[in-house]
Amino acid sequence: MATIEFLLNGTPKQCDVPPDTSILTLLRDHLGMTGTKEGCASGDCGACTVAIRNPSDVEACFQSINACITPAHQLNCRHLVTIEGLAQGNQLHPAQQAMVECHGSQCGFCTPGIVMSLFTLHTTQQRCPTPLTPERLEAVLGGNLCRCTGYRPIRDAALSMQSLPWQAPQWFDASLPAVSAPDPERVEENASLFAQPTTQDELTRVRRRYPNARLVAGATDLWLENTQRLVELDQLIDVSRVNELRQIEEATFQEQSGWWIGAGVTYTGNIVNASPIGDTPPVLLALDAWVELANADGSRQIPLSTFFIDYKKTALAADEVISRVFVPKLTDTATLRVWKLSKRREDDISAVLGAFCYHLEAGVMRDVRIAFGGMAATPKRALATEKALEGQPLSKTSFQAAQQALDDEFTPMSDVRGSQLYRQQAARNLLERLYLTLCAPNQEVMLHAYAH
Amino acid sequence: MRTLTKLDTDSRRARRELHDQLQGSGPLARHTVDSQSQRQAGSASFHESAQKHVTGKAAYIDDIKTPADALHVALGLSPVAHGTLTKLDLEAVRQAPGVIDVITFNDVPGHTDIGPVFPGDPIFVDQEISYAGQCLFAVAATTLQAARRAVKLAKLEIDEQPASLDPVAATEREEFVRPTHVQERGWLENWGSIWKAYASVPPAQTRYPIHRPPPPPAAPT
Repeated sequence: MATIEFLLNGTPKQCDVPPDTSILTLLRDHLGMTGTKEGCASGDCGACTVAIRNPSDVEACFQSINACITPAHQLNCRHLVTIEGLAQGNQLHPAQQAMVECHGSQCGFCTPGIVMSLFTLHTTQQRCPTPLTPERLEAVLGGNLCRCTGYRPIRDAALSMQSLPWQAPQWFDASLPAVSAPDPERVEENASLFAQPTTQDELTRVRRRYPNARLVAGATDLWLENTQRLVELDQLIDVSRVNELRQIEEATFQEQSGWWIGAGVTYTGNIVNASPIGDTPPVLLALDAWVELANADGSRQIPLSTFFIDYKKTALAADEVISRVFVPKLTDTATLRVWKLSKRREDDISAVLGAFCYHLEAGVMRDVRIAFGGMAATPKRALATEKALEGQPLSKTSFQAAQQALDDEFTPMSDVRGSQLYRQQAARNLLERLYLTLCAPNQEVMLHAYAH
Repeated sequence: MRTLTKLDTDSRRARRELHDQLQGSGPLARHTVDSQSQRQAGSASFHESAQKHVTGKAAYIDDIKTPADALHVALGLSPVAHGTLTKLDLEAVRQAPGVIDVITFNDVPGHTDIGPVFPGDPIFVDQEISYAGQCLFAVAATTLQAARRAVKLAKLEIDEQPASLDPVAATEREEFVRPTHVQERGWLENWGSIWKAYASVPPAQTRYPIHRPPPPPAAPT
């Protein structure tokens, strides 16, 4: 047990819950607030959407998050707004009123989540009105699935809610008194723990003291171990508040200028998670990125290609964290192309992802770096394929040789996202797509329309 | 729809062209009715539960407050689509923290077939597994988490057989859920007596209007 202190719909709250409690479990089971619904319990459907804001940052807007996979302890010093908090007496919030008037609910189970996504849009628009383009609405509502009403009435509600009168309630800008977090170094080594270090120094020290603790930031993957596989996560270190991990800068690295250097927390989680089907690792491999691994004594820098060792196994030692990622900026002549193949356009994990970095010098392929996700136990460079293309002219023959090399160097597995044969063929086809794209620079194979 | 598109005009243009078709170009749904003329044919009324939906006050089964001593049930489901259950060892499940009771097919005292219209829907698997996710056993525990964790401790042995996934092949093998029957039009031997029975019922004695059949067609000669 550990204490969380936060604001809930403007009212200060203190709760003692185990470290692996989600915001949704806190609300529904501990606080008896059942307005927020559990749909998929894996961060896909958005029925559990709630809004969260840092009250000490005056510039910060509310953000929508999936309560089912967000650790309740990340609410510390935050303001949580739920569906129960929007209406003032009988006066509905514009997001609610517009959903009623536009017939935006049918069975109503996804509705609280949709209203909360509209609420964050509404508060953002109040602060900084910007045109509601279809792309913007897709970004706002893309995480909310509705299986009976259909999205048009919901879109109508999003478009019309701004014209309804609304006065922000006073509690909106409520602030929290400063909270004194327990010093993680004084907690027993086997006791349950939710540490929230704010500096890299604190982080590496806590990491060393609790080698079995899991690191968490966005929790999109880690929390599924709890909700789906029912694993107990009794020691967690939250890296989302470490200042050093929130910065990105342009600097010189390896005696070359023009590198983007930073950590970006959940972005780093995508790397250290080492999933063979993570989105960013193949891209970073094709860019030849480096990572810095730090512990309490110091740090070391290694190429990302040597970081992934085997399925979910990395070069990271038990007391280390990724402190920085070094990404070279593309030179003017270089091109990076990335194609992700998945069953849905939004909110889906790839079956195969191919990243291709190269530059064309008088019709000859140079500095070719290719990496794939979904083709091996780790995200992996396609070294033989690269070699087959390096220094070769843009021709059917050279790409056929590359496809042959690709076949030889990868033996993907069959699983729910694609069979071995599908993955091999799809990866070959991505090379074909690259060839066709290079042959006709003003044409591209693309997906126009997709099923909702 | 996968097509080749000119890049010089950019994917944005393709998107714009499809915009009206994708998003619908009609007026907003709430503008298609006159809100003054509520509850008349041709006008729209708000969903009777809309206010409850948008405020989170609509109570679904999962939202009903449970009594303090409520037990929570989790089900053990078949991981395969077709096979014979040869061993179901639930000892570890019974011993798991928080577990109060575990039941299987053999613990059900009354009917074990709960098919509401036709028989063929066993409440638990006895031996034959006929679909993935078919219920093998149930665990009652003090919390839902304890019940779900206990389910994972079951030791199953299943003689797995090939699943029937192709309807055409299944038809050829005559793997039917129900016995086949045939509907056809034509002469019915007792047509005349059926019509007579209908025609003889006085209208006042019928609870529902009887759709009287036409007089019987002439028998084939």
